[in-house]
Amino acid sequence: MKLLVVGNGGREHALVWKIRQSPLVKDVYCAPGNAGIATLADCVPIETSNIVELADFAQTIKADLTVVGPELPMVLGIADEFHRRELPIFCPSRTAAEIEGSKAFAREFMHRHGIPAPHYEICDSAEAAQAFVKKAPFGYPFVIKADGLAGGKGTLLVQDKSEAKAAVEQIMTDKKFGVAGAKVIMEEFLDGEEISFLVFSDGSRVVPMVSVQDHKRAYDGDQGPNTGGMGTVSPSTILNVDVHKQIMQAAIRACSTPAS
Amino acid sequence: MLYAGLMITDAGPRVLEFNARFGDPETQVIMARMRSDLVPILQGVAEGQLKESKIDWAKEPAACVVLASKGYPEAPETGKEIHGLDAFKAEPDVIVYHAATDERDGKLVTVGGRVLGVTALGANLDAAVQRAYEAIGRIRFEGMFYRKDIGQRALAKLHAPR
Repeated sequence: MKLLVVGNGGREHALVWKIRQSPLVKDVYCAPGNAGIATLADCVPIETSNIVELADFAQTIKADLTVVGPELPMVLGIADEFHRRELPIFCPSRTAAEIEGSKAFAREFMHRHGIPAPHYEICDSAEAAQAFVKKAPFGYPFVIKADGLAGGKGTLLVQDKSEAKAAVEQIMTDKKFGVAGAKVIMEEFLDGEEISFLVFSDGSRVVPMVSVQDHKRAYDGDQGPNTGGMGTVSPSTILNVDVHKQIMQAAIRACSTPAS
Repeated sequence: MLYAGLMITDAGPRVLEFNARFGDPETQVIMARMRSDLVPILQGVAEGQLKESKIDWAKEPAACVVLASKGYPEAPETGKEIHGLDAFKAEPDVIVYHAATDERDGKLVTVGGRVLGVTALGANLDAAVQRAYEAIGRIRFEGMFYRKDIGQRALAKLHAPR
């Protein structure tokens, strides 16, 4: 088999590293890759945003499967482009990708499917957001999230009214995250341990992966700005059988609907 | 595929976010622990016909510590030469996954904020974390920083009296 991996981060290096060990695989290509990936795969200089050129390349080398890591090509519709050309791809379609492309969409989706989530309110103008801040019905601290993709940086925890007002101004008035901040989602702050739980799903069958604990803040003691992630451990030490069951049920509900 | 970011509260789990793809750096520890062949699984998902009902995992826990450039996440410095990676090729329990790296004029250099993900397996979580930090001690580039407390909350929970 010939595989093409799209992306250039640590995630893609890990995927290429694992794919390389498969006895089924002969050639691995990566676009655009990095210095570590280059030791395991043939790197081709195509940017992850260039979905037409990526599809052209997959077609030329007759890739048996293309695996997409980053969010950008996914929200640009790389899966739709590949499906149109009948090229096999591991990546959700643009509609399914909306679940992460819009946090407002995701919150409403969870609400519709009875998936346990924090209390939230969606504000689609700076006026509505400032009015929410005036009332602050969730108390302080609470969470303000830009609706769209902001490279993992669009989530702000505000401690008081002045921080909340400043956050709304940054996101909605100064457009710090561009159109990603056209809407914001206000959420109650939840205390507890954060874990990541991943499953493979083909729309009906759901296969869980091992649990992971991420560390989002830049500095020790969960201080400093939010990042894409500063480290992980697996398994999580807080997952018991009950919690696992509840999470799997939520995952199955989410995966078995057309929007995933 | 689905990735759920969850908060485990006293009242049960709450979904903070859903993603439709692999997380970074979650994938680094997941791949380090996966024993099954990934390729048929990816193919099954892509074709809408997942045949596997279960995945085999290493019993050993894993830890991944990200080495970042000074200024990350706002304005990371770039173009710094990375030293000390050659030794790890002979150490199967440590995998140094590259992120923002490039080779320029025969030198390995940083090209962004998150540079490397030093990932280690261990007989238990303490050992995995310790092994990752021991490896980091041999890697350097100008302005390199990383969290010193990866896994500490998980370990505190593990060792807490019940």
